[in-house]
Amino acid sequence: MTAENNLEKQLEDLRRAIGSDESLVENVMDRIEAIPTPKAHKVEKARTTIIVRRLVMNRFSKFAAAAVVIVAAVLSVTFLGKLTAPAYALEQTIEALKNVRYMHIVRRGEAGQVEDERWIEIGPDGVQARYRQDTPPNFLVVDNLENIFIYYKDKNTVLLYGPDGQRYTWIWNLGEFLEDLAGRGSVTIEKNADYWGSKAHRVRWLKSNQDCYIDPETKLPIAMGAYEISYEEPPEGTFDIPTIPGGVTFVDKRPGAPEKPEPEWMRSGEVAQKRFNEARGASAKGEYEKAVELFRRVVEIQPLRNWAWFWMGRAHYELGEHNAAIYGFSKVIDMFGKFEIVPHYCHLARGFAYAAKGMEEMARQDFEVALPVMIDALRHIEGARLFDFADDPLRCGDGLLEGCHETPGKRQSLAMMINRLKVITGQNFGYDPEATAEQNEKAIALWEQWFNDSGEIKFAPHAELVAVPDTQE
Amino acid sequence: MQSDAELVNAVLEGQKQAFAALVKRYERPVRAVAMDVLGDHESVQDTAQDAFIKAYENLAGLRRPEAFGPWLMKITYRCALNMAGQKPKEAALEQQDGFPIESTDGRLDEEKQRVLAAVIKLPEGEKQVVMLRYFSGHSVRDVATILGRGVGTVTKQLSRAHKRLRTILKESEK
Repeated sequence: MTAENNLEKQLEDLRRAIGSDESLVENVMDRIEAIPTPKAHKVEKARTTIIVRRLVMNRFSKFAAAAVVIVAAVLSVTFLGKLTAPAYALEQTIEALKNVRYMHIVRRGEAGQVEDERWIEIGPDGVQARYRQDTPPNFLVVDNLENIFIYYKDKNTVLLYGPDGQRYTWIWNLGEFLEDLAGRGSVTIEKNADYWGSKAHRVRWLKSNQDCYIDPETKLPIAMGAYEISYEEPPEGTFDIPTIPGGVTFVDKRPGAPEKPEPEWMRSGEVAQKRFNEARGASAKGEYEKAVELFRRVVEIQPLRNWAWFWMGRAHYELGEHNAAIYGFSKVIDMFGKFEIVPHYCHLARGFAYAAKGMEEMARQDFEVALPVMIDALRHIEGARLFDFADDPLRCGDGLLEGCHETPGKRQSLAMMINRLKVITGQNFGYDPEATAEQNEKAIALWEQWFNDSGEIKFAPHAELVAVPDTQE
Repeated sequence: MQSDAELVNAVLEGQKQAFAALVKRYERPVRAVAMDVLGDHESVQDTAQDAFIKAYENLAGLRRPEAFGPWLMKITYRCALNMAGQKPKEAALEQQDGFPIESTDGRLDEEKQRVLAAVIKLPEGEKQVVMLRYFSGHSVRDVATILGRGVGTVTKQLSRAHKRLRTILKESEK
């Protein structure tokens, strides 16, 4: 029996064993009889009223302000620069954003349930005014500019700040997205792309490869990563500070309130940050056992600290503990999967760990996820930023300030990316970091063609690497 | 033969009966995913029903009707995990301890578990094609229509899936 026939037989045997339930259709249809017919939901269009309000500016709100202003500016640059089509969409997007008063941001789970919901009121200068974030079951924040109410449901604790307290905003997606685009502007645009069955303009955020979609009709962003954005007015009372629930620990942080010690778990955040920085230092020095132990203590306190999981995986990998490395990398991949974000750098790292174990097929699957982005980064080097960050635990960012390494320059980043590609593909197609972009375009195209045609991975851990320049430029 | 997208849209337009076609089409793939998590037929039956009901209730939240299959599989996986949480601990212990599982008590034998686990590991696109072709028993042409893809694309995906399955199965023997 040939291998092909054998596989088909195995699948056929499995099909029989899985079996079927003759009454399933009937039972399901009986049960849905009592359920109302589902209706497709429609996104409400933006309202165009403007409010005038004096705003308390701090680091966070300034950032949010910049965000909304920058999105317009950046999209303008991007569209004008990348498309040959008229810039009408851009100008209208800028105009539309000026008139936005409210943003409603929602992330849904796999079954359509709301997992994260935010309402943002925007002032006339584009600055975040009032804000509400509800992330069940753990977190509720209401900021009405006079008070900031934070209910950590999982900790059964309410914190109430005055107007100078820590402000919350949608920094993680919108802010960083806009900061990135504003700084580099190197994004790819696809007009009239498919967005869940509708047409929308797609803007790719290279740093983390998330897509942002612009509604061709309203010219407003309607989605970013896993978040849907709409612009309707919030229900009455959305920004009202809730009544403090009974039975919770209440920490009053408003000016003039009597001093009260913070709960233990809040102080543990500082401890985690200290350990995290120590662990990064240990990793950079090659003290991997110490790094593993320190990162482990971080994730015990902050189980969602993705870089702690990732670099713990890297430290395990360096120690030859490949299963533990795969576990750490998989944690990060799963963590981001919920947000429809693909951490390509993490697939690359996990691919290495699988390859080191001799599990070539698993390695190949991970490399296949990372490769298109890696090849594309040779054109848009911004796409290499996270790979560079992942390779250097002392890179500036994520809380490490003193003694951190600056972001590499373009030529450094390019050389590092070529080396990664050489190691997992065994190819370089004549790419020369010293040559012009036009000369190298042929090599990049060949790399892409190779991937699309066959993409046979030739894992070459000892490949001859190109020299990474010492200086940023 | 209607595509998934056409059937989903029909349900959203009020034709409840169109959902029956989706249930029929995806019954075995749903059972396969549930079985990979749960291991026995009895729980699989309940999970399959729950998954389809949940999918129906949340159909309006499905933004790309053509992605119905992978979306349903994720719902099934979640339902199966929930169901697994409700199972008596003895069952979980038995599997952890590596006792051979007999096929006579409604569970898959070890070899079939291995093949199923390999199918579940396939990339999303290939997994769906394999499940519709082999578990639901559709022709390649029908699979192409169901998924709104070209016949050539489906053939290519099947061929890649075969190659990948053989490698995964070989590696799982190690």
